[in-house]
Amino acid sequence: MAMYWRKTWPFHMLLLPALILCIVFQYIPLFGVVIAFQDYQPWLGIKGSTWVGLDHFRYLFTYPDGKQVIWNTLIIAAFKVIMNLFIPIVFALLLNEVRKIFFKRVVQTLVYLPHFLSWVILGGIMLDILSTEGGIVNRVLHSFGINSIFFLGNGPWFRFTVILSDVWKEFGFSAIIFLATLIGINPALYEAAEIDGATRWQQVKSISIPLILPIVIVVATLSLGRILDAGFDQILNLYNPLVYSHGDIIDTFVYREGLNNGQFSFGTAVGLFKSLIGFILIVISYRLAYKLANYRIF
Amino acid sequence: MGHYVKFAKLLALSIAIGVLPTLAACSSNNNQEPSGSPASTAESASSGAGTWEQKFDPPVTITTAIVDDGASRGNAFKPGESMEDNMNLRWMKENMGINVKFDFIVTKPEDYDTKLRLLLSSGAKLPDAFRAQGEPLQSLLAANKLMSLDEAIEKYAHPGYKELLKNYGYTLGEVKKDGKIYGLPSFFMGDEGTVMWIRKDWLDNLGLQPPKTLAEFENVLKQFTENDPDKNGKNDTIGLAVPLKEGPWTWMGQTDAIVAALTTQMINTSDIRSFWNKGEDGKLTYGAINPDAKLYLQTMKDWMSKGYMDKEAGIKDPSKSSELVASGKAGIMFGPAWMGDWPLSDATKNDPKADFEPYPLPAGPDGLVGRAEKMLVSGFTVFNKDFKDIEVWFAYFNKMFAKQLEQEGDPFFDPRWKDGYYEGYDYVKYNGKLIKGDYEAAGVPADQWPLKDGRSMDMRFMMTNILGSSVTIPYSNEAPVKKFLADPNAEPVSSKEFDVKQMKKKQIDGQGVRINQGITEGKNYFTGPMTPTMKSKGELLKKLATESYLKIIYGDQPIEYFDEFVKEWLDNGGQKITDEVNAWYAENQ
Repeated sequence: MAMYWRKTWPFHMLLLPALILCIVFQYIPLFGVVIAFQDYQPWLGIKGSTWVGLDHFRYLFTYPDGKQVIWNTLIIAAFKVIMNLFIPIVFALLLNEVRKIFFKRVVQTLVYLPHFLSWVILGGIMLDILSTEGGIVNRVLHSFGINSIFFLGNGPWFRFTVILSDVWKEFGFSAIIFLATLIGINPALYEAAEIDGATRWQQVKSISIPLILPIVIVVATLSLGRILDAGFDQILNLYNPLVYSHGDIIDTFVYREGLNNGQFSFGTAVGLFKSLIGFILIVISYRLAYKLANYRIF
Repeated sequence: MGHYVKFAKLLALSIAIGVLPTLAACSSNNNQEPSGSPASTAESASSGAGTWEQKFDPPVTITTAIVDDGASRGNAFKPGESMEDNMNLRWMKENMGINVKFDFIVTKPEDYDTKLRLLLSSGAKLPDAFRAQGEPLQSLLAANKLMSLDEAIEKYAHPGYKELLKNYGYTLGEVKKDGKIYGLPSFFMGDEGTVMWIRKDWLDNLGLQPPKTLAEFENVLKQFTENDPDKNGKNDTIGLAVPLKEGPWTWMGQTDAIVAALTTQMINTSDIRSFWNKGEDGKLTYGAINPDAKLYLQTMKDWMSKGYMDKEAGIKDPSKSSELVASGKAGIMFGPAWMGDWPLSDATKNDPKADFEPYPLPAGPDGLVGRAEKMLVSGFTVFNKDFKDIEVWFAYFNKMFAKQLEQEGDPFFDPRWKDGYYEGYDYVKYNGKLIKGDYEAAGVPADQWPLKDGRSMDMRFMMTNILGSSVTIPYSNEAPVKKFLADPNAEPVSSKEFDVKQMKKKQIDGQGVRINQGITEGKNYFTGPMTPTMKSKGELLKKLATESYLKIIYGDQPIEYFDEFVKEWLDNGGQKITDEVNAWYAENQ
């Protein structure tokens, strides 16, 4: 053992800088979450601020709008998580069947471009294309004899718009990981299937889908951790008083409540609450994946 | 193997060395002591106190901090100059014995506030003089980090400034603690009061007169909506462009004039600190819950249902809303006089005949006319409690203030700044004539232009430094506006007149309409810091109010819903806030 150490210690030393950086920037700041249980005042610091126990958490749940905000978050985020998993998979499977490499590349590039646009810009664009007076979407609806829809000013339609536009923005980018997995599948499997007389559909069903399933489980498990992230940037840029009842989410609420008024403790408490729920969900889904699919992620 | 081990040893060592400075940087933030402040130790002598000649020897260093978004100020400095090295700083050093040092310069206001909070929580030294507002300001006050200024004002301030502080004392609520003043207000000009902008060419097309009453106003809305005022044969116009995302009161397109034509109450739903109106019993009440607001809501609901107003008003902010008037789809928009340039002049890009003119505000059925007063103060200049040289700060401030005041025989007025600040910067002398702006039109050769592209320079960035914000005397541009209204070609004499002359003609017209209508503007009587319940419940009430107003205007709820809203508002902390506001008012009025 001593011999082993004498020979290999420099390799271990190589880990040290990364380890130190990780501890300094990832773990030490973790102690900052104690301010979630304090009435934190910047000039008093963590040592001087008074302890208030679970007051901030209680505040979130007893706040008149608290339930509505949590409910909105869950609905919007749940739909986003499901759609952002399902649609990229379907898209990746379809694109994988495309024979023309050029066409495939062009489509792939085009669909992941929106990912790089910020919601500040898209917010303005959406206001215009979804306008009830001359917006392109409503004009198309008109030509089918459908009445104008006030997408951004009507609660249920607002949710629909938020979810759909998020999927539109992200599905191309999310599909990359599935496409990469599909490309990595051994062509011999397909060749063998073809010789055995399998149709394309049968090949997809029996080769492609089973082989990307592990990755799907990983992505699904990780995305469950974001179940309380309904998309702060997006909602902040699109919402308005007309749709507060259907569109106000935890993050926008904390933004107005915490940051605008400098309530650090409250903001931290909500952040901690969200992380905790996310953590629990990840653990559960990890267990489920292991039990049902006998698959270990970590 | 041995070879790899040796390589790994070296690599580990070099990485460790490379990382060290990063780690060290994390812990050394507190040790940033200002290196060059000899003035605090060695007593600095000054000559010429109380006049423009005041100079300090040895030079005194004053530290400050500033927001400087490099992108939006293309005409602030000459090439090679910067916030930290420019004409004015060199001048101050040479002629006044003042060294300016920036503790930090950030690009965004949010970053500025964050920086202040960090300084507070780490206990590091604050700049000597700097700007603060809102929550960071209250934190600084609560932490006892700021200097009380009553004595310094009394001893060093320009007499005109003392008077100004007395006249606008009611704006100091946020920086008062135990009866003492802890900050100097950054005043606005106060010239942003609402006027009514209407497409005159549309009025003419339909043979209409500018509306003088609310009834006539409604008729114009109707005609603009239904009778094709732009004569393009399409039913594609509406009357009023209005942003309602933030309720009746905002910075452009606001409907305070409609509110004021119907009631003496002032209404804002998007800020719990305004408007607090004074009742006959001397108590303050929140305007948005006053029963009179129903008159306003009924009117707006009516116009919305008839299609006179932008159907999408509820999801639009002021800039978005102004696109309607710029694109020639709406004929009326309320707002400040400066709208005569942006956004209204954009309308001519679509239609060369488009002609927005400012008009006096319409009167209500009982003859009421009015508008709300824009906030006169935003932010304060505050001083580090340990700052020793406030006399030096005032020497520069008084000079700048005297320059704004331009009073004859003022001992603080610096004759070196008579024509402007610096020749070749904000003015050029050519053929014995003083020229400020439009250098090309005035025939100045290109090599004498302050900037290569011929634009005039925005001196505020250079001059502000330790002052926290540019020096403005409220309402001081009224006389120059009147002068150029009477004779647009008059020669500007004072700097203020030069500034006003720089405005577009439509803007001056707008200012004229505003001044000549002679309205007493509705005041917000609460100017104190956020009360405890405002902090905990303010956002909830703001959301409740704005949402309820829009629901009623859009017809999702009947007008009777207003009473329900008021009850909910009071039950959810509104009553408590009202009590707190009145307790504050009783103490501070």
